Amino acid sequence: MMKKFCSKFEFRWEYFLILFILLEVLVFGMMNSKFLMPRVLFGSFNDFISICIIAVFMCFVFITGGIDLQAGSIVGLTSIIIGVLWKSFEVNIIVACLIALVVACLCGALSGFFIAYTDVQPMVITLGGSFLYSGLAIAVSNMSNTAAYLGISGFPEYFTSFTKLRFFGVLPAQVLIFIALTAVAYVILHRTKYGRMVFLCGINRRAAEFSGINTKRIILSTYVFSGMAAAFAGIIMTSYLGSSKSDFGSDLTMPIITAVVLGGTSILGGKGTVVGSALAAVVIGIMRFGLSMNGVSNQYLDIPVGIMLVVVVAASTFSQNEKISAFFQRHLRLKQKAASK
Amino acid sequence: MYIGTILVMLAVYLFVTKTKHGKYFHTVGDNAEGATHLGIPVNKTRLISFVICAVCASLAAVVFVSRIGFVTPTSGNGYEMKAIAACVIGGISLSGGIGNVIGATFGALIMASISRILVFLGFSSNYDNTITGILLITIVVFDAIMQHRNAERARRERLAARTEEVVESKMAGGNI
Amino acid sequence: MKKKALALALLGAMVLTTFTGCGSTTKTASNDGGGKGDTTVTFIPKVTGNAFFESANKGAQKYAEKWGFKVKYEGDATASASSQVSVINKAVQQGTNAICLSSVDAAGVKDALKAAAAAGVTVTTWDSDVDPSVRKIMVSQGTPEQLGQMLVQMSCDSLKDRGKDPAKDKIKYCWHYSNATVTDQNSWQVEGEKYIKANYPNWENVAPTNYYSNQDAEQAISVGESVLSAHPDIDVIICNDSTALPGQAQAAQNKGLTAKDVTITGFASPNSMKQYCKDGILTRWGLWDCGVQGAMGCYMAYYIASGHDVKVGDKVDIPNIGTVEIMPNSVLDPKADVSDPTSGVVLIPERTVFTKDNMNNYDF
Repeated sequence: MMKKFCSKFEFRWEYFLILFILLEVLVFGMMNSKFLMPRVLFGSFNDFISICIIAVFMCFVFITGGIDLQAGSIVGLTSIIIGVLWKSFEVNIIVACLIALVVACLCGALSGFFIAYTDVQPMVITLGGSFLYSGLAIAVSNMSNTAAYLGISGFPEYFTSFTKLRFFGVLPAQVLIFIALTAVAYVILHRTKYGRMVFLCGINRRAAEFSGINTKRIILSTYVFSGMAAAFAGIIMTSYLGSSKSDFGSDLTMPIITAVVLGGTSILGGKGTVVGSALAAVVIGIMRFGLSMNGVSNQYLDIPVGIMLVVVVAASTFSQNEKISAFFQRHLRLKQKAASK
Repeated sequence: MYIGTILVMLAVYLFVTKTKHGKYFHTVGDNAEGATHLGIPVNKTRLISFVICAVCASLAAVVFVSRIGFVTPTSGNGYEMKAIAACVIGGISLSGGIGNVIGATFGALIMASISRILVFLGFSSNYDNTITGILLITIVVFDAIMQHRNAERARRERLAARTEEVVESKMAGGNI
Repeated sequence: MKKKALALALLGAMVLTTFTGCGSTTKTASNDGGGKGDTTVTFIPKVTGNAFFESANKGAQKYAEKWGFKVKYEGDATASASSQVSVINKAVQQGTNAICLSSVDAAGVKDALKAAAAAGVTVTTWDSDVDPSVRKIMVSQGTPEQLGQMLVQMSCDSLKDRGKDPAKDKIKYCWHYSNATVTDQNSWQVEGEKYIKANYPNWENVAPTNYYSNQDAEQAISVGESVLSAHPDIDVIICNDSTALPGQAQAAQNKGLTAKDVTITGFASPNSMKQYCKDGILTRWGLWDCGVQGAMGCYMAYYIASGHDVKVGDKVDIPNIGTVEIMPNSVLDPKADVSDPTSGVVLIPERTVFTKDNMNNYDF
């Protein structure tokens, strides 16, 4: 009976991630009871929500076989555009956010255009893009009449307050925004024709092209999504911190890629889920928070994340390696034979 | 020190292009399965390449310390991106098999001198990143377009050569 | 599928043991925050791994031992506002009694500090201030005017040393520091420029947009070298950043220039510049005792957290250091809000100019 249940139970990576989150909460909660307070636990999300939001949409890019290193710079660019438009050009803050969103999508489209239409390596183009957009952010901040070092602040109350709302006193508004965006991304990727086409482009680009899919447009659109997600993260960060600086998000690139890869997305493309990326980002965030709550100094927080990434990627490659899986199979079969005897 | 660098570069270039073990690197990058069929130890070559990379990084650290004199734990932050950019500017393909160390050296020279050149040209230091980004994108896109053109031209030539053969043999009086 | 499950379960167990191992060992090793009646002050720098902040921490730890409270050093290796906010939030959640902070972005941490104050945590700042309404005391190394003038003064003294007359000769100069977004360094540069324009109109700034090296040691050297090559006749290079000054000095040394050819001065820790001074690359540079400054900030935090109320005009006696007076916020910023009497500024008594004669008395 157990065997039948095991064979019917399709092991999905997401279940493992959920299990891991529960384990983390349990272990850290045991070590420090303050960790379990809902207010504290959910409040910690505020610090890593940008990574979660961008990871959710960046898995689109990874599924097509690309990589996007410029998301961090686009966050900073968005933030400074909002600040400069609001302060120096007296534009309404909501309109400023929309303009920043459009600019970010254009940035993503520029890189996507080069990657899709000229067949360049995505890593290099987005690397160049990250330099370019962070430089542009500095140039934009020079356009304002406040000196770059003072930072722009003093945003209207309604703008800065929406990220600090807490529903039922515990759940920050940012978590709900994140859940909403995850749902939207899930629907786009897994339930629409467009999503199917994204997968097909990643699995075999030539076959997809020959079957009539406009792969170039699809690949371009994934980078636009990634840029859009970076803009969202930039808007939320500007609102949460109440200040607009050109170097926001500069250290986000590696954590985002870690989260996407940990979520079961293959770097070579063709495989991946939105839910996996979202859960993996949460796993990493809670782990860092839990460790720091238990006294691990900030410098050492990245070590467990790095170890986990290496272990997970190695394990997933090993488990697909025929030699090792055959070894395990033989072992298990022997055990079963011994048990049934 | 500059002479030392040039000597090392030449030594590595000769090793990679002329010796048997050096050519393994190119082969493995170009076609790993084909290399296995030829009997080349693919995994070992890959492992060795990572080891060499780490050794070079530690050599770089030694040079860094001797030049700068004080180090912090975050000293090398961001260097990996610049190194990748330098390699790509120098013509090394990220999908493997193409490129050589001389190109990488030139790429590294370009990356390192951008901020210096900007000072000379009188640009504000603020535009350092922007110009690096534009340069990187331009060079890479240009290179990709040129490669495309070359591949297309090569294909066209092959096609032309094949049709010529067919036409020739027809003209020579054979029945097709 | 079964083998996958087994492999992953084993790895999961391995990973878990790593975490519990990490957590427990560092718990015993680090300063576990109070709860035993000990006051804990969380000392948050702009960035960790930087000589300036590390020596400030050393000073704070040394004095705190004498004074009888715990100082916990928490920070992030990147100088970003969002990571500093998360460090502040974590400190508050861990139940610290007070925070002493050098902020990366004054506006960015404002809300986090407001929440900290609401949770009963005393907030003081040092080195880089925040909005006065969210902190009690700021221990300042000097007003921007004092520091800007100090930089120009050091340049003038060095120029006189090598025979140039700063008041009459045509002097070419430029600024070389970290970047345009760092609050304190830019405020000193602005004040320095004002002072130069007012008192030395014969000085010419060859790079009004300044040279930046982003606190990267390698870049400081290469930017330094290109500055010296692009402007071979430059007279003064002012480096008000603790990474830019050693880099600029090294660049001068690489080019074979000494203090007789070009004047280099600025702010940096004595240990990083002693060798260059001995080699004759520069004659003087400045700083202040950041160890004392950090310690004072922590002491003020501890003092207020232990229940003493301070207001502007009070004199507080800091054991082993001296008596300090709480000044109104307008000392640092004339437009500051002075309505809250419990919010004030403590100026550290003196800044130091290091020369060949006195540099060996300092070790930080």
